[in-house]
Amino acid sequence: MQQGNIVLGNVYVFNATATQIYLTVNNGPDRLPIFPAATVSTWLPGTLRVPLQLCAFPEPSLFGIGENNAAITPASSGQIVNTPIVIPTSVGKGDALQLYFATKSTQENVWFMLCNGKPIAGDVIMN
Amino acid sequence: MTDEIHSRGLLNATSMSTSGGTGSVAIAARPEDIPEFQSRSMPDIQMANATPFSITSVEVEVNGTQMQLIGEIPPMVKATPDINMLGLYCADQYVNVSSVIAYPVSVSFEGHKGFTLGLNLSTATDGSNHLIFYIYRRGIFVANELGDPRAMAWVS
Repeated sequence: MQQGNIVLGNVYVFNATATQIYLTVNNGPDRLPIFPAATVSTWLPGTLRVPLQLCAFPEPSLFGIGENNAAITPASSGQIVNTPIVIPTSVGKGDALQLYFATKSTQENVWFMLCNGKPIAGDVIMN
Repeated sequence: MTDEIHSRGLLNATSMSTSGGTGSVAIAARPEDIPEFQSRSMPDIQMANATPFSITSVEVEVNGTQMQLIGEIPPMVKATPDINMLGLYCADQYVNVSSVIAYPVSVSFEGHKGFTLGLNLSTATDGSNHLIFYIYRRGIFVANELGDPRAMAWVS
């Protein structure tokens, strides 16, 4: 982590689709596999990786306040989709973010970011 | 008492007492009677009906005994159940070696088909002070007070 940056909280990632996806944050070296919850009839956080960290400003592999880049790769297609995720300045220390992925249609998926359970950002991404 | 818990696995999630007897359900232990349990803070629970239909009851089956957690929940309404079912998990984790604990939870809807599923909350309480059970037509999604996903179960 760069000098001057601080950890504000965690970002939990939840993949509600039936497709395994890989997530890369801000062009970092980590390519995080996100378990497809729709492939099983039960899900527990134990199947999820350690939550990503939310920091004061974006860094490779770390979400930060402001504009972040998320590279999403569905295992089914292998095609990388880049989507900007802007975290508003209203988010602060102690807040918890949730990044949810869900299926919108056979052609489209949707992501939405929540802060303490309240939606703050979202967009549709093509498969 | 402890042997009875292990051999029969009978637990009571609430402070209410139930009459026992030959051939009937006996209450072997209450979570608040277990020393280790007293030091644990048990998250509060709320149940949110995330469907356009009325829920008539939410029940959990423990060792063959059906317990109603809550009665009617109107559509799109959040309510506090009469029984905090996390007591079952906390107590069961204490007396059982197995870490996989999934009780059958049944949801009944007014005029519509309900469902029964196995809901495993064995790790859902970690770091949570408050859990909200979002009940959908085919499943239950559990999130903590920060919105972090803590458990999910659904029927196909």
